[in-house]
Amino acid sequence: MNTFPEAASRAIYEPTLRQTIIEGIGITIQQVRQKLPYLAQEVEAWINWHSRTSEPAEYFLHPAAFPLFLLPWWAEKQVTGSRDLKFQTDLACATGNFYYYTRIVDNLMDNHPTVEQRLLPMSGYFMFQFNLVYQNYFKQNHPFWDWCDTIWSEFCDICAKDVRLTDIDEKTFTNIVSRKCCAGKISLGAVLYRYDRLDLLEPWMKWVDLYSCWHVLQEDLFDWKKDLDLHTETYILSEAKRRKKDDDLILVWLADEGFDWAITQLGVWMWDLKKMEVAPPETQRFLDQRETYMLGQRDRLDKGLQFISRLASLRG
Amino acid sequence: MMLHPPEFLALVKDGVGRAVERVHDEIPLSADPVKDWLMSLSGTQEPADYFLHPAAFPLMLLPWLVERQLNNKVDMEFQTDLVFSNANLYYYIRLVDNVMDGHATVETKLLPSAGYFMNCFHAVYRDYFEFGHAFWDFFRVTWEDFCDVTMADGLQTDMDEKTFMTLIGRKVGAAKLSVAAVCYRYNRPDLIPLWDQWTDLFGRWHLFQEDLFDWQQDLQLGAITYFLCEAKRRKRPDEPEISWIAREGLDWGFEQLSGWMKELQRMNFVSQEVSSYLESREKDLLERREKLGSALEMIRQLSRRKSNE
Repeated sequence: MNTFPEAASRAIYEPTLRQTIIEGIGITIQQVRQKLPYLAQEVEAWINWHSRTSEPAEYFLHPAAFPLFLLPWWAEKQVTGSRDLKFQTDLACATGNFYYYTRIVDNLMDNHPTVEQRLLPMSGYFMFQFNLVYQNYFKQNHPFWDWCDTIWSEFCDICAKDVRLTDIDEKTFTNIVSRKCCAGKISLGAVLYRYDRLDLLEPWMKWVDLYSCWHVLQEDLFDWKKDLDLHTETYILSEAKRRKKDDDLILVWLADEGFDWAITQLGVWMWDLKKMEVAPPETQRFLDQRETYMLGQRDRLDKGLQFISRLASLRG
Repeated sequence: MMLHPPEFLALVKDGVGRAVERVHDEIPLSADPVKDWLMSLSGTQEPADYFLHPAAFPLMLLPWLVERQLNNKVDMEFQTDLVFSNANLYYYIRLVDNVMDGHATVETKLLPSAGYFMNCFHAVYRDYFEFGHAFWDFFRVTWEDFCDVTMADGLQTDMDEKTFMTLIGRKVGAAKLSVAAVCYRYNRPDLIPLWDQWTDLFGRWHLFQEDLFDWQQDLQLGAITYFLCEAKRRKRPDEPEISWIAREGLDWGFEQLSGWMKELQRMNFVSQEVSSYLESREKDLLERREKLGSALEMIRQLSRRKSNE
């Protein structure tokens, strides 16, 4: 049974940020209780199911999670030297709502829904609550909204395209698939718009795009078996089909060379990320932590991979 | 009154056309399958046809009628924006409903577009109301209620009169938003509670008559409707639903509808145009009932003969 990697989580999420996320997600849940008289229990049970502990926010504090909450946290400190904790808590609440929206839609499309079919009307609820947070910070004619609409449309477009892809090469991966994480830019952009630091918008967006390539590929790498079982097409699986010998199993290619191929690719992107000047020192530390965590995951698989490789060579 | 005056038809075509065409600009990667699906809804080359069917819920017509009542003439740009918003709202609802009902064909793969439609529906109102405006509180409460009620509907395993009246009739609640937008724009928020009541009551009438005519399809799909639940409760133990429906169910159903229609007709804050609209809907309903008459009579006789045996 997987246990929660507490130490790695605490290294990435400092105590004040943890508390901010816990409060933000707490508001999200409190709102569900207040605003959905018919269904609060069912929706809350579904939310709690994700964390599998008594603390729903724990789900978001996993060291391998996309840094949805970290991006605005870093950016605000970077541009103001401090943090408005009320603002950050609200952003955490918005992000929680966004994530629950995504989870409902994604689980239905990934062919592994549990109760999401019945919960589908909640997608509109969560999306609206996500939007509502930003209404408290930006007037209706603020340029933030045009930018936010563009990112949101891009996010919807890419997710709808992604599910239809039947073969993914490097170009498709970097131009389409990895940009599935682009909605994570919204809370980051909100910080930059709020403090009028639009000069940082483009470099930060490039950082998120590149980090997304790294994040999605390493996720696909470690989830390859689940994706294969669910017939979810990913870059690593498409690459495996292209590169393996005709009669080889995907698993054998992964053990022989696939993992190394992916780790090398991840290394290149990580190297490029570390060179990007827009990121403050704490972001650079995060990259080191993520890389270490990911390599630890790979190391844990290493013996198994070597065994499979040896077995395949005997068979060959 | 003509059900749809020509200037109204033109603006619906304009607003819905904008919603359909915009997918190419805003979601270019997924535009083709999304547009194919949108076009499949109308079944014609004109996507607006879907919303102009005489038996459709008057989602586009209500704000138009309300503005004509309040201002005598309509602001075409405002109304086209409302049509655009409502078309996107409807596409969002259709995607979600079809996946929930379990009879989705292509909709599951299109689900991410639901977020796009939802945003288009919502964003239109930013051009008309500042965020501090009372409209947004109304929007929030109405939308949250709509989401709650829609999900609650999907969880029902039985439906009685109370559930239908208090819950299901409110499934059309999102239609209140564009009506309220008109009322707020013309500084008539006093009319909003009245229009809310009207919409709830009309929603009840509309959804029930749909269930009444679609009972066969609903029965095949295993859908839980008030009408079918009532059939199961009221029919004789060994009687098929169709026999109860022919014997007394449709009469019972039309009686319910007639009662709600009378209540609607007593709501005298609405304009003559709205009253005429109700008359035309009722007339249409009675004509459809008439057409069912001979088929039902045959089933009635068969049923009588069977129960005499």
